[in-house]
Formats: sequence, C-alpha cells, structure tokens
Amino acid sequence: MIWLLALFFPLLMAALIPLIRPRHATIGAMLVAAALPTLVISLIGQQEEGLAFPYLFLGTVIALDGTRAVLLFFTSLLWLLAGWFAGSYQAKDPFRVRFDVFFLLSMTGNFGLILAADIVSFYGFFVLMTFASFGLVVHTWTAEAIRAGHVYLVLAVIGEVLLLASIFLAVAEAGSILVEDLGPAVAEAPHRNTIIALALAGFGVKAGVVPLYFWLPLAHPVAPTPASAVLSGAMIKAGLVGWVHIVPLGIVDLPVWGHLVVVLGLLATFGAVVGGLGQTNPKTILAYSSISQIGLMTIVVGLGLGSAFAWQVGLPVLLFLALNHSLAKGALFLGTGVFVHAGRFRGWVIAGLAVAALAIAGFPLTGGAQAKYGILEVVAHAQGFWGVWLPWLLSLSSLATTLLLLRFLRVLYRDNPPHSPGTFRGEVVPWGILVGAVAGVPTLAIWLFGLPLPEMTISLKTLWGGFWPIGLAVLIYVLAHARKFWRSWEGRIPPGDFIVFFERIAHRILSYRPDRLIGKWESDVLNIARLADRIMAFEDAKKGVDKVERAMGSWSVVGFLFLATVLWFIFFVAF
Amino acid sequence: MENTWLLPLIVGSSLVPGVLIFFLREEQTVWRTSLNLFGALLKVFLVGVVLVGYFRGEIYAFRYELGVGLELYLRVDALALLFATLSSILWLVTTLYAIGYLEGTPYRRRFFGFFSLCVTASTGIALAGNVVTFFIFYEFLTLATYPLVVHKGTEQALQAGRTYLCYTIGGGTVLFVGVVWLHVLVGAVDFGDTGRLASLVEDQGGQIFLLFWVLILGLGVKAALFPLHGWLPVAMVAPAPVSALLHAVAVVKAGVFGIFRVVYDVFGVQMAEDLGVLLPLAVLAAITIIYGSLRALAQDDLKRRLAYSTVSQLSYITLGVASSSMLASVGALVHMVNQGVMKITLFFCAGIIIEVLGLLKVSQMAGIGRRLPLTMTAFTIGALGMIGLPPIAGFISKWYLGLGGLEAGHAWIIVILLTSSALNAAYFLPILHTVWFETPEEKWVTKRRSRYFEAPWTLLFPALVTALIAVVLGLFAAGPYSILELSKAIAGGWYSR
Repeated sequence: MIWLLALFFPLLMAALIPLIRPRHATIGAMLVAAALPTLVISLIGQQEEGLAFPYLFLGTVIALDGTRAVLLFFTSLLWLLAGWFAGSYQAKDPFRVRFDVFFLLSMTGNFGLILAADIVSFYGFFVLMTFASFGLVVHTWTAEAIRAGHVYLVLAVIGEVLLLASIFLAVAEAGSILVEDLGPAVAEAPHRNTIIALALAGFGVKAGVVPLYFWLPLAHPVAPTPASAVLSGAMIKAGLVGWVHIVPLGIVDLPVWGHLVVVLGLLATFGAVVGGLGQTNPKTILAYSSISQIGLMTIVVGLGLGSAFAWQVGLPVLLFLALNHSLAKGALFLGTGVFVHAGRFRGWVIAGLAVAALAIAGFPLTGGAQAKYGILEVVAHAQGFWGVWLPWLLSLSSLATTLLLLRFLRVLYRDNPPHSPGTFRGEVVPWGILVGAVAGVPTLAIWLFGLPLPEMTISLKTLWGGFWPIGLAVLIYVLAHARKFWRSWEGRIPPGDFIVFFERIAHRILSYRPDRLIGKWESDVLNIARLADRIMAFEDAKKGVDKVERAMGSWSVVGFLFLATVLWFIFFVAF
Repeated sequence: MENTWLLPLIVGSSLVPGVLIFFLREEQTVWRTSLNLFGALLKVFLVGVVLVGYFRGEIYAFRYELGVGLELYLRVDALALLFATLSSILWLVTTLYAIGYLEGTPYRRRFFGFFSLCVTASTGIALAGNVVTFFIFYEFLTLATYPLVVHKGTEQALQAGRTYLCYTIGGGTVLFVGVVWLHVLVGAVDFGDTGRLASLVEDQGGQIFLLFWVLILGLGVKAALFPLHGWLPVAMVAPAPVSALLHAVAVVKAGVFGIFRVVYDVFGVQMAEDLGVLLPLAVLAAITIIYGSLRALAQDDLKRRLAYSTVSQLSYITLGVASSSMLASVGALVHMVNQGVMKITLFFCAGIIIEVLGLLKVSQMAGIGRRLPLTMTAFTIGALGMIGLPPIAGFISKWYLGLGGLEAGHAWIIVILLTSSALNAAYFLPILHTVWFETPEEKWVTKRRSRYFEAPWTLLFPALVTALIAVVLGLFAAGPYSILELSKAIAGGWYSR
C-alpha cells in the first residue's frame, strides 16, 4: 500500500498549493515533499508481486518490480531536485501557483505510469502527464511558447490516438489489460505489424523519434527551466516505457522491425546533432541533444526487437542509458538557469555543466562510458549486420554529441555575459546535488538495484575507446571555431526544423476553412429548416390544387420518403 | 407477489406536481419550488426503492387496458432501471439549476409545469413495457418539450420551436406507422418478447426488414441520426436548463433508448443480425459521429458547438447498439449514462457563463477561468471526458465501444472512435485554451452576483455535482453496483437470448 503514497503526495500538494497559496520558500519544500516519498519507495519498496485495486478504474494494478524501481528512482530523483529548483527559480512568477499545479500533476502522471501494471491505468497516467505538461510548455505565454504549445498539443493528440489504437488491438488480442500479458499476445497476433507500428509511432511522439520529434525542440526550451529539465530528462522516457509494455521485446525475433527501428535511431542520433548545431538558443540545443540521445535508446530497442536474445542484455542497458541521460540532461537544463545569475562563479558552473556533458558523451569512467559499453554488448548479442557497423557509429555519435554539447556551452557562455557579481540563490543547491548525482549515482544505482550490466574492465583500451572520439571532437570544434565555421552555421536551421513546412501546409489547408465548407453544404443542401418551412407552407397549398402540386413538386427527399412509407403501409394492410 | 402501485407512483411523482403547478399563481414561488423539489426527491427515492427491490428479485408491473389489444404496461427491467435512475437523478439536479436560472423571470409557472411533464414522459419511456406504451410517452414527450423550447418567446425561439415540431412530429408519424405495422404483423408486443416476430422472418423477411427501418427512421429523429439531426442545433436557443435536459436525458435519450428497445427487445440482436440491418445502422452512426464533430468545429456559439457535439456523441450509443458485439452494447449502455452526465455538466456551465457574464461565443471567453474557476473546472472535466480521456467517464464508454468493435471484427470502428476523439479534442481543447490561458481583452460585466461563490449556488452546485459524478463514474468504473456492472448484466441478458 505504501506505493500509493508515491501518487498521493504529488496530488495532495497539487490540491494544497492553490488552496493555501504559501510563500515561495514553503512551496519549494512542498514540491520536494511531493517527490520525496516516491524516491524513498523506489529504494525500499521493491517487490515482485503487484497490488490490485479491482474497483478502481477498470481494475487497476500497480507494481514495483526491479525495472520499475530503477525507472522510478531516477525519475523521482530528478523531479525532486527540479521541484526544489523551481521553488526558488519561480519565486517571483505571478502565475507560480498555476505552474506548480501543472508541475505536480505532470509529476503524478509520470510516477503513475511507471507504477501502473495494467495498460488502462498506464494510459490514464500517460494522458495526465501529457496534458498537464502542456501547462508547463505554454507557461511563459510568449509568442514562441504559444506556438510551441499548439504544435505540442497537435502532436500529442495524434500520438494519443495512435497509441490508444495500439492498446485497443493489443488488449483485444490478449483478453487482459495486464501489461505482462500484452507482449506475448502481440507476438502471436495476426495484426502484429499494425500493433507494433501504432505503438512505435504513438509512443514515439513522446520519445521524440524520427519523424515525430518536431514539437520537442520547440516545447522543451520554452518551458520554465525546471520544467524543461523534467520534460527532457524524465517525461521523455515515458515513450520508452510504452514501447517496452506493448512491443513484444524479448519474445520473438522480428529482424525487419529491428533494422527499421535501429535505422530510425541512427537517424535521430546524427540528424539531431546536425539540427542542433544550427541553433542559437542553448536550451534548444539541449533539446536536440535529447532527441539524439533518445536515438541511442531507440537503437537498443531496435536491437532487442530484432533479437530476443539481445534484449536480455538490452533491457538493463536501456535502463542505465535512460538513468544516465535523465540525470545529466536535468543537470544541463537546470545549469542554464543557474548560469545566468552566476556572475563571477561562472567558471564553476561551466565546470559542473562540463561534467554532465561528458557523462552524456561517454567520457571514460562516467556513466555514459558504461552505457556505451553496454550498447556494444547488446550489439554483440544481436550479431548479424549491425555488429560490423554499430561500434564505429557509436564512437562517431560520441564525437557528434561532444560537438553539440560544446556548442551548447559556447552559446550559453557567449550569450550570458556577467551582469552582476553574482548572487547565491536557492537554485544552486539542487543543481549542485544533481551534478554530484551525475558523477556518482549511475555507478551507485548499478550496485543498489543490482542492474545486470555487462562487466566493464578498466583497461587502457577501454579508456582510449572512450576518450578518442571526445578528444577528436574538441579538436575539430576548436579548429572549426578558428575558421568561424560555427558562426556561419548558426541560425541556419529554425527550431523544430521541418515543422516549418508542416505548419505552412496546415495553414494552407485551414485557410480554406473546410469546416465552413461543410457548414455551407449543410445550410444549402441539408437545410431541413428550409424544408420545414415548405412543409409549413402546405397549409397555403390547401387553397388550390395547383398549389398542392407545386408544393409536391418542391418536396425534397425526406418528404417523399415519408409519403412512400405511408403508401407502403396502406399497401401491406390492404393486401 | 407483483407490486402494481409503485411504478404509477414513480410516473405520478412528476406528473402530479406538474399538473398542480399549472393551478398555482405565477407569484406562488415557494409553493412551486417546494412542489418541484418534493417531486424530484420523491422520484429519486422511489427509483432507489425499486432498484433495491429489483435486485432482490421483486417484480414491479402495472397494466391498464386502454382498448381492445391495447395496454398501458409499465414494468421494470434492468435497462428501464438504468434509464430511470439516470433521468431521475439528473432531473433533480436540473430542477435545482432551473430554479436558480429562471429566478425572477416571467412565465415560470408554464415553464415548470411543462418541465415536470417532460420528465414524466421520460420516466414513462423508461418504464414502458410494450411498444404502445413507449409510443404514447414518446409522443407525449414531443408535445411537452415544445413549450420549453420556445419559452423565451423570441422570433428565433419560435422559429426553433417550429423546426423542432416539424422534425419530431414527422418522426413521430413515421414511428406511428411502424408501431401500427408491428401490431398488424404480430399483435401487441411486450419488450423482450422477440419470439413471435422471429417466427415470421422466414416468410416475411422483406417486410420485417422494412419495418426495422421504418422504426429506426422514426426514432432516428430524436436520436439525431444524420441527416435527421438538424433540429438539435436549432433547439439550443432554449434556456440552458432545457438544453441541458434535452441533450442529456430527455429528448435525445428517448430516441436512443427506443433504438435499444427496437434492436434488442423487439427484434433481438440475433434476428437483427440475420436481417443484415445492423451493419448499415453502424455505418450511419459512424457517419453521424464524424459529421457532428466536423460541424462542431465551425461553431463559435458555445451552446451550438455543444449541440453538434451531442449529435456526434449520441451516435456513439447507436454505433455500440449496432456493432453486434456484447462489449459494444456495454459501451453503448455506459455511454447513455456517461454522455448524459458529461453533457449536462457542459450545458450547466454554458448556462452559468451566459447568466453571470452574458457571454455566448467562445471567442469572447478569453481568461474567464480566472473569474469562474469552479465552473470552468467542471467544464474542463466534462470536455476532457467527451474527448474520452481517462479517468473521466467518457473513456470507459470509448474503451468498451472500441473493444466491442474489435470483438465484432469491425476494426474500422476503432478508426471512427479515434478520429472522433481527435476531432473532439480539436473543438474542446481550444475552448479550454481560451478560458484558462488567454488574457481577457475587456472587463467582464457581471450580470448576476452571488455573495459567497463565483456564481449563484443553485447554478454552480449542480454543475459541480454532475462533474464529480462524471469523474466517479470513470474512476470507480469497475466498482460494485456500478453502471458498468449493471450494463454488463443487461448486455449479457441480450446476448444469451
């Protein structure tokens, strides 16, 4: 039952804050208090057996097995620190209460979808998170925020529809709403490919996979900084959870799907770097980096989809990748907020950001290096085609990521010259803890949760393997910088890149007002009100036969049908 | 032992106050209000008694000979109970709302008199045990509703009333033809007695096929099936409590309820399937669903947008009836309740916006969430429920309709449902966006003040209560004695026949 506290506290705070409207210091404490029980539960509450609430919803079951515990652990840790950060960061925001309510509702959704062991509750929490985080995206209510909100909402609704379709089909196949029954049923299903395609696309919107990522570089940066951190660090992983629930991973080998998903992952990994390098806003660059990193996780899913054997290693590796990325990306986003006020401590903040950046890029001895080693192991298990190419591509992705994050640091540094000697604000503490967590927690988590990651021996070879792409990237970056390459490239790509074309098409279609066209049709052709007038005019028609005839002549279809029915009736009665 | 007096008493609990109200003077507000509330409370209580009694195995029936072979027959089965419970509870909240809404306006005697008669008719429809009784109350409903639709007496209202009558009287006439035809074929038909009609199928299949469509055509007007839906968006000029009742339990539900009875209790699902009439009906419902949503998109008048939304949502029920799958029938039954609760919430809120701020158009509603936070919270719950988002009631309907569609092998139903969800989102979410996030352009004029709340409590509480019900119906859908469980029992009965 203590698992319920994980959901109860965020909801409780979401109800309390608008009621008592506390001072901002108290709000920070309340946001922390909302996530703290969940963090504790993720550490001590692990248990194989689920807990059923047969009367709730359509029969809710929640569970906290090993996989969920890891997910819940890093998710709640990030939410907790982001909430702490928000308490101070949002202190002067006049709409702070609204922000906090949406923040807490998104938090509830995110925790709930991890705990849910039946797909209906999972979907419910997923929806809660999706729609509540809309409030975070549009919170600042600038022109960009409104636009981002619109794009977000449209893609979210499309995603929602697709994933619900996959859930419908999977449940109809399984005859059960329990998550554990879905995978095996989908594996055997006659519509297997449809279900997989719908699930990949539906949850792919949240995860920002190619080609459904457009909203992400728009929405993640415009949200207030603590919200950006959880959007890009924690909530983005919900898409992966959805995949793991529905796609039959580790049950059958589906090589065609496997190849396709790996290719999509690679496209995201490298394409997002190209897109991100052309950006001018540091937070947008981070959002592109998230797409790129989710690309790596997509590759792992793809490998697991292609080979059930590989998934045995793939799942822990995926969890570890997600954990490492969550904490590091959270630290990077929160760091942008800290940096602005850092004044003469800017050097320290940059150093902290560099730690997080190196962790993502996979510098030796960081969680990123461990994760990358894990991916190689998955590749080795998957065998076949990718075994030749992926190790190289992974090193290349390290290089690309380093370039992108260097660009991020450079733009952040350049665009925020020190205004004041710097003030020590409350945000520094949670950020500092998060940077510390980036450095220490991944290794700690392996030990805490006993993640069965492949053993990584520290040798000169592995150290070098982690180091050279990053060193090379730094070299390339500096050389290109000297030749003013980055400046010439900057701003060439609009945030959200291809979305611009889609928006144009959508505006074109909507400018015809198809809804009004139908309205015109209804009032011209289907206007029974006008027909009604004619039927009413029947009274006049009684005056003369000619008028009756005229009225008969002008009767439309419905009137005729009515008459015909009456005649039929007479016919049947008479004979 | 059959109980014969309880059912007439249930019908009488609104009929008698209704008639008495006509004899009161206009200014006898206290008497009128007391009578109304007494009747409404009594009805809820009596329906509760019957509900408990029914599950204990007691039998309730009432027969009265109208003429040779014609019987007024009231009785209770699970479907009747579902509808009676829904309409008695929603009538109670609407009565409270209407009392607040019309406070201080003229012609309240007429209004509340017909209001009670209207509910009498709904109850009669719910409890009708045979086709003739159903038809009598069905037509009674048409006539009792007309004065409510034209209540404002404006040119627009009168025009709407005329349109309303044209459609419903037309539909009623067709239904009459169907009812007489049915009598000619098999004599008086009690609901559930599908055997006699079934025995004729072999010889007169063609005729029975036609009979089905005549009945559906007659009922389709009130059920707002495309292209017979035109009266519904026009009739929304009626005062908000009337719209609320009209769109939730009274008129439109009478049509849908009739479709339930015809398909399951006159023809029987097996025969309907053999006749091949269900698939075309499902397709017609699907067209209505999409069409209604598309039309709703274009409306700026909030009540009009809600009206087109009703057109679309009602056909979810028809779609479920016609899907020939037990799960879909469950979805249809559940949605009959859920749609009522959610739509009544939305109309209550629309009425509050009109009464308190005098705003009709969505485009004028920027930022009113700050002025009417509780109202707009209720509205948000209703709107999100209509889209079918969990944990609100609408999701439960969509879930069963979708699974039912798959069970019947109609994967296209999923496509329809999800397209409709997306369209619902496309016309509800912009409203939410406007009221919660946008900043108001000018100061609101407050037409009616309330000392303690954002709006008079008689208007606010009903909206909050129905919104709460909508959440509870979703959140505890699988609970004991839930609507879902009752629906499963009803549908199980139909499919085991």
